[in-house]
This record gives sequence, C-alpha cells and structure tokens, in this order.
Amino acid sequence: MPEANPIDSSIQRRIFAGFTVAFAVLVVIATLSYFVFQKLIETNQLVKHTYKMLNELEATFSLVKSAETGQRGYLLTANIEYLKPYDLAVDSLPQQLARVKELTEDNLVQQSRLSLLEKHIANKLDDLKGTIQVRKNQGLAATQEIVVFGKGKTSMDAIRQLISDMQNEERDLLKHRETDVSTFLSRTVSLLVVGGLMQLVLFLGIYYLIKRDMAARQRAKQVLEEALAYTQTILETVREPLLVLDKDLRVKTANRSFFETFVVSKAKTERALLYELGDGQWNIPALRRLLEEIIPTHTEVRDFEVDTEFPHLGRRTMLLNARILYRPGNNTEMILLAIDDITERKKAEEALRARSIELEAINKELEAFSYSVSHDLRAPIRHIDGFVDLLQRHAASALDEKGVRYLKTISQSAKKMGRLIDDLLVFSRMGRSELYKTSVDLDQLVKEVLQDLLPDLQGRHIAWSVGALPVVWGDASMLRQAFVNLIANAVKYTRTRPEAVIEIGRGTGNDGEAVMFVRDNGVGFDMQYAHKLFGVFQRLHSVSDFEGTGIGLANVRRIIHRHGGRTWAEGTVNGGATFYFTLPVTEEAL
Amino acid sequence: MMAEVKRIVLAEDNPEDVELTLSALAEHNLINEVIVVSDGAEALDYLYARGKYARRMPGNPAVILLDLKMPKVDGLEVLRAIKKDDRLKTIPVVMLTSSREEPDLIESYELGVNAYVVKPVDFQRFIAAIKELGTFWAILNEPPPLVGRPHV
Repeated sequence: MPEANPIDSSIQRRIFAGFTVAFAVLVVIATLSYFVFQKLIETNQLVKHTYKMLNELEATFSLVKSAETGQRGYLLTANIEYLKPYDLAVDSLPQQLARVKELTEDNLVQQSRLSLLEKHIANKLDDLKGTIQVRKNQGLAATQEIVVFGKGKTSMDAIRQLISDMQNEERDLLKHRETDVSTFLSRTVSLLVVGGLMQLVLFLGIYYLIKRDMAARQRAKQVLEEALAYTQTILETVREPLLVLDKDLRVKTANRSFFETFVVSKAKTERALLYELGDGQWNIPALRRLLEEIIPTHTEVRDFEVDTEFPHLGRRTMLLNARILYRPGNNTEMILLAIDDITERKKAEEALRARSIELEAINKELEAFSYSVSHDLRAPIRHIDGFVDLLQRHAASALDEKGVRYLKTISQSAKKMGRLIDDLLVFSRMGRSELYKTSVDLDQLVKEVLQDLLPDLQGRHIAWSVGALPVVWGDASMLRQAFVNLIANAVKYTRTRPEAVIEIGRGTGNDGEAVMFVRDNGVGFDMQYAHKLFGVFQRLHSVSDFEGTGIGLANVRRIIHRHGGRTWAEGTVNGGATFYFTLPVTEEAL
Repeated sequence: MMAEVKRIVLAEDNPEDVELTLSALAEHNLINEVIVVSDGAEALDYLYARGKYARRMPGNPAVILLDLKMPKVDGLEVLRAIKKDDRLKTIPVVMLTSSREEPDLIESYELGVNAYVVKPVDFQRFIAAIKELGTFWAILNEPPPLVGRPHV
C-alpha cells in the first residue's frame, strides 16, 4: 500500500471532524427547536386556557347579571318576558360554573375562590328567586324593601369582586407565564442564533478545507506527472534494456534500449506476455522460476545469470536484476527487469583466467629451468675444474710453461662460468620469488650488513657516515641483498683511495616514498655510460682493475623495482659516485 | 678410540664426481673405507645390508655423503628413509650436492639432515670441503653407539 500523502490525511480528518461537529450542532439545534416549539405550544395552550377562563368568568358574571336584570325587570313590570333571561341564566349557571370548575382544576387558589363564588351565586340566586316570589305574590311595594334592605347588593359585590379577583389571578398567571416564555424564548433564540452562526462557520470551514484538499491533490498529481516524465526520460536514456512487467508477466513498458538491443518493435512488445516476446527468447525455465517463485517472496533479485540463444543476437549470457515496483497512482505491483549483456565480459574473464593459468604454467617452467640450471650446469663445470687440477698434478712434469698456463686458463674460465651461473641464478630468483613483505628498519639492516662485511674491511681505512634511515615496507632479505651489493661496490671501488669516505643516508623525496643513497669517493664513472650501469653483466671497468661479473647493480635494480621504487646514479670519473634508490614508506615512518 | 674402521658411504651417480671426490678424500688419507653407491636404491640396499650388500661388514657407516639428484631413488627419499628407521636414524647424513635451491634446503633440514654442503665449482675449494667433511665426520666426530646389527 503506498503511503497516503500526509497532507491528504490530515485534511481529510479535519473535514470529517468538521462534519461531525456540524452534525452535532445540527442535532442540538433541532433538539432546542423542538423544545422551543413544545414550549410555544404549551404557552399557547395556557393562553387559550386563560382567555377561556376569563371568558367563562365573564360569561358567569354576565349570567348572574342577566339573572339580576331579568329579576329587576320583572320586579318593575311583572312581565314574565323579563323572567326568560332569568330562567335561562338560572338554568345555565350550574353548567357554567361546572365549566369554570373544570378550568380551575389545576389551581387551588382559584378553586377556593370558586367555591366561595358558587356560594355567593347560590345566595344571589336564592335572593333573586325570593324577590321574584315576593313580587309575584305580594306586589311591587313589598319587593322594594327587600331590594333596599336585602343582601342582594352585597352578594353581587362579592360576586363581582370574586370574579374580578379570579380574572386578575388568571391575568397575573398569564403575565408570569408570558414573562417566563419570553425569557425562555430569548435565551433559546440566542442559542439558536449562535448555533446557526456556528453552523455557518463550520460549513465555511469545511468548504475551505475541501478546497485545500483539492488543491493539494492537484499539486500532488502535478508532482507525480513531473516525476513520471522525469523517470521516463531516465528510462529512455539508460543504456541497459529495461522491462516493466505487470503481475501477470505482461510487458507494460520497455525502454528504447530494450527495443534496440533485442530488435523488437514496440507494438509487438507492449502487452505481450514476456515468454512470447521475440520467438520465445525469454521462455527460459530458470527465468520462469525466478519470476514466478522467487520474486513474490523476495521482492528483489540481483545478478541472476541467464545463458541462452537469442534470435538476432546468438548465444548470449545476460545478467538480470529484478525488483518489485509499486506504480504510484493505481496501487498495483509491477516487476522491473534490468538486463545486462555480459557475454563479452564473460569472454574477457575467461580469457584472463586462461592467461593466468598460462602464466602460472610458464612460471612453473621457469622454476624447473633454473632448478635444472643450478644442478646440471654446475656439475660439468666442476668436473672441468677438478680434472684440470688433477691433470696439473698428474702431468706437471710433462708440461712446459705454456702447457701449465693453458691449463690454468681452462681452470679459470671454468670458475668464471661457475660464478656467472651463480649470479644469473640469484638474479633470476630476485625476479621469481615471492616478496615477503614486512616492516623493515633500514637503520638496523645497514648496521647488520656493515657487521657482516667487517672481515672484508680488514686493513682498510674507511670513514663511514650513516644517516638516519626510515622504516620501510618490503622483503627484508632482498633489501639486505641490495644494500650488500651497493655497500660492497662502494668498498670495492674506493680501494684505490688511502682514505675512503662512504656515506649512506636519506634524501628528500615525494610523499609516501623515501629516497636513499650510497655515496663513495672512489673511482666513479663516466656519466656518458650511466644508462649501462644497471644492466645485466654490464661493467664500466675491466676485470683486471676491479673484479666482478656485473650482476650486482642489476640485482639492486631488480629488487628495488619489485618494491615499486626507482634506481639511478650520478658520478664523475675519479670523482666518486652516488647511487640513489627509492622505496615506499610505512605510515609509522612518516 | 676407534673400535672399528670408520666407513664413509658416498652416494653419487656421476662417475666424474665420484672420481673427484675420491681423489679429494685420498689426498687426506680418508680413503680407508669408502663405499660408493650409484643411486638411492643401492644406498638403501647397503644400509639394510641386503641385495648386493647382503654379505657386507655389519654396522652403520660413520657418515653418508648423499647427492640429491640420483636415479631410481633420489637423495631426499634416501634421507627420509634413513631418518624414519630407528636403526638408521642416528647415522650422520651430509647432503653433498650442486643445488643451492631453497626448497631443497628446507626439505632436507625438515627431514633432519645433519649438514648441507654445496659442491663448489672450484676444485681447490672442493678438496678443502671434502677434507673438512671427512676429517670431521670420519675422524673427529664420535659416532653414535651401535644400536644393533642391521637385518641380514
């Protein structure tokens, strides 16, 4: 699963949160509104109730009044017509009072008033009834007395008062309720307004977030497109053939190098099954195994070798790298195959190996050769010398001076040949044998060499000057040989000097190398022939002047070269000579 | 003092070398008893007193001068055989050879050779070397006591 764009998920979360809050607010608003409506309905009911009550009370009062009026009319006129409203009122009053009673069910105070009212009304009615009877029976004058002195008016007043009280009570109640409701309403309305505003803000916020989200997606898409273009350019420029396969091993894309290398067309390659490509050149069991079994478990395989016959190309060895790719955008798995034709490289490696083996064999031959030389050549030489010697003793008397000289020459030549062979063997060993490299303290080495040469220095006056020499990395015995040769030479070629001066020291060199020299004040040499100095068996002096085979410096050069150094010399005829050489130094010495 | 004649065994295949060596030995009167064998097989035959040498005088020689390069059985093989055998390993063995090759030196010493002498080309030096060898091993050096008679 590709990682979600972090911007995406935080925006999405915020949008979700926003919607949740908005929804919650909506629910709250709805609930509040419900309560508000309930309250309004309730209040409405109460108002209706109150007005109903007021009406009924008014109606009650009006009935009583109507009864009174009727009674009065009758009293005045004795017209029964006036009794109609009275009768009606009297008839209606119980029901009327009952209605009022119904309406006061919830109010104890009103109920007690009502009972009082009922009582007064009853009294009043009785009173009216009485007076009517009196009028009926005794005439007008009799009634006047009752009316003037009767309780009629007090009852009426009481009734009026009670009704007024009850009405006021209702009105008060109403007023209270109205205040309650209005406070409730104002609070609720403000809440609702706030809620509404919040909703508005929330929705604006959500809208803004959604816009941001979309912008982010747009940007991501653009980045992706640019990245794709970028990768595509890389793919096309890469020299290695590349293949992108989908999970079913069909080719999704191949780069230009692939088409060119395997000589296939784009049309034939894309969407084709890998194993069908180019006459099934990829239908190799090992490759099938790789792709179908190994890749799902390992997601990457490197350096998988495939050796097969390719049309247009012939038999080739290919090195494959395969890797699972996740293609951005549609979350599918793909396989990237990188192909490297290593046929040439393998051939070169083979050739190298063969050459190595050849060289090995040649080396072995050389070893055998020098072994044979060391044994087989020496023996006859020894015999020559030996038998010449025996001859000399045996036939000394039979030989004249010339004869003796001839024999001596033969003997000397044989000896010389022996020396030459020995020198050559040493020289060849210097070139053949393995360097056993260690840290070599040249100070110590030179001291030992001088010690060893002591016997040869008997009777010589030599002024030695040995400077501080570094520690180098090399073969100790070979380096010893080099110093022996150089110092022995110095000793030899200063033989003509009464006071020889031999200097061994270190010069200044480049980083990582030490320059050393052996200087003497001997017979020196002509710089014209300096290039011959280090040659094999090359000498610049005759054997009669200075003995030697001319192998010493050649050995020195060989040894130093094997250590990665250089050799050179400076000298003047009869003015001494200096022999320089360089050696790589160890870090400790620096 | 010597109880018996000190024998020198010279294993050398080259007749010229044999002649030169013998004359060198003769020059210093060390020729008392030099047994010359021309290859390694013969050398072993002598040491084990078998074959051609079945009826030789019993006892080990005072020293064996051994050349490296011999036909049939070479010097190193003879050396190995000698040093492996309890009855023979006390015999001093001197490698007398033309080869100064390091592998030969190493091998010989590892097998327990007593001395390794490279034959000098110069005859005078050769004589001197032989003399020194002979004088040391055949005269000066105390031979190891007899361990026992070799098999007949």
